[in-house]
Amino acid sequence: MDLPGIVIKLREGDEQAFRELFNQYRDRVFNTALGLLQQHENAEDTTQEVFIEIHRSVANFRGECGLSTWIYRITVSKSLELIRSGRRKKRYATVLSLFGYEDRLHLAAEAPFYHPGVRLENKERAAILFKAIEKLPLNQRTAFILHKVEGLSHPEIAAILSTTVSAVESLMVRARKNLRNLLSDYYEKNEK
Amino acid sequence: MNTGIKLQKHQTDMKTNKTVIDQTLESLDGIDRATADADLYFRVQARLAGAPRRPAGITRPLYWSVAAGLTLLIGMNFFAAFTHYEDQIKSSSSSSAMATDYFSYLEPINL
Repeated sequence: MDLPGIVIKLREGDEQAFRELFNQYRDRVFNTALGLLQQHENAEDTTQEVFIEIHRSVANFRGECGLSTWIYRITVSKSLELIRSGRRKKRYATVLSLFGYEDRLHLAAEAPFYHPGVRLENKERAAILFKAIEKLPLNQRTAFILHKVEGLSHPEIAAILSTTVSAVESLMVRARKNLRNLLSDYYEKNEK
Repeated sequence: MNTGIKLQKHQTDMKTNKTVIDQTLESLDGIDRATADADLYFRVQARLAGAPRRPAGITRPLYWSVAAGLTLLIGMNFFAAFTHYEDQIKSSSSSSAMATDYFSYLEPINL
């Protein structure tokens, strides 16, 4: 079944079409969420949320952008929502730790993240890179992950982020520059 | 001479660091897409069918109801305290006026 066909069937409430869509996009959604969130359980939760959202709002999908762009947009938006709520919780945990409570959230965040798709010889370096990516501003982080982890082109990313290709290119340049600085600091501290 | 060696070492360190940074930045090249669990579809189906999403926690409507209730309670407390204070002022001023009238014939006691 082609994509417009799937959308029509989805609007009619066809379960088979939903399953087909799920099978086509499951890994793309999960991989994007995993790259952004760097946590397996959260990425699974977000994947579920994304497909529930697709099921609920497919009737409102007017085809102004591609189906794939629409699905990536939902994925990015749900993942960023979770990152922001995680940051709020982290701040709360820091306040609690000031009063002597254990900072469990903070400790969990300190654990290195190993993406399952990274080549074995790059595993440790990629974990260091993911730690640095976590410190990037959210728009740079999103552009970098969509490009590097999900392998999307700059025009595809521009469509997802509703921006121009040159804006994405600028985000990528800034992301690389910031990552270089963060990695330089990291290696200087850890080499000594 | 010593400074020259130091500078050379620093330059070598910088070069090594740069190489390591470049290698780290390139560590995601050729990454494979992570695959989701096969049973994820059934979990989505279960949630769409209306199964509870997560263990019971504070839901958004409950949160807002509790917040509204607390605000109302605090407001009522303030109102009650204020009216009580006003009554107290009224009663104390009338009782002091009465006391002044009643004991006005007494001379101040000089010890």
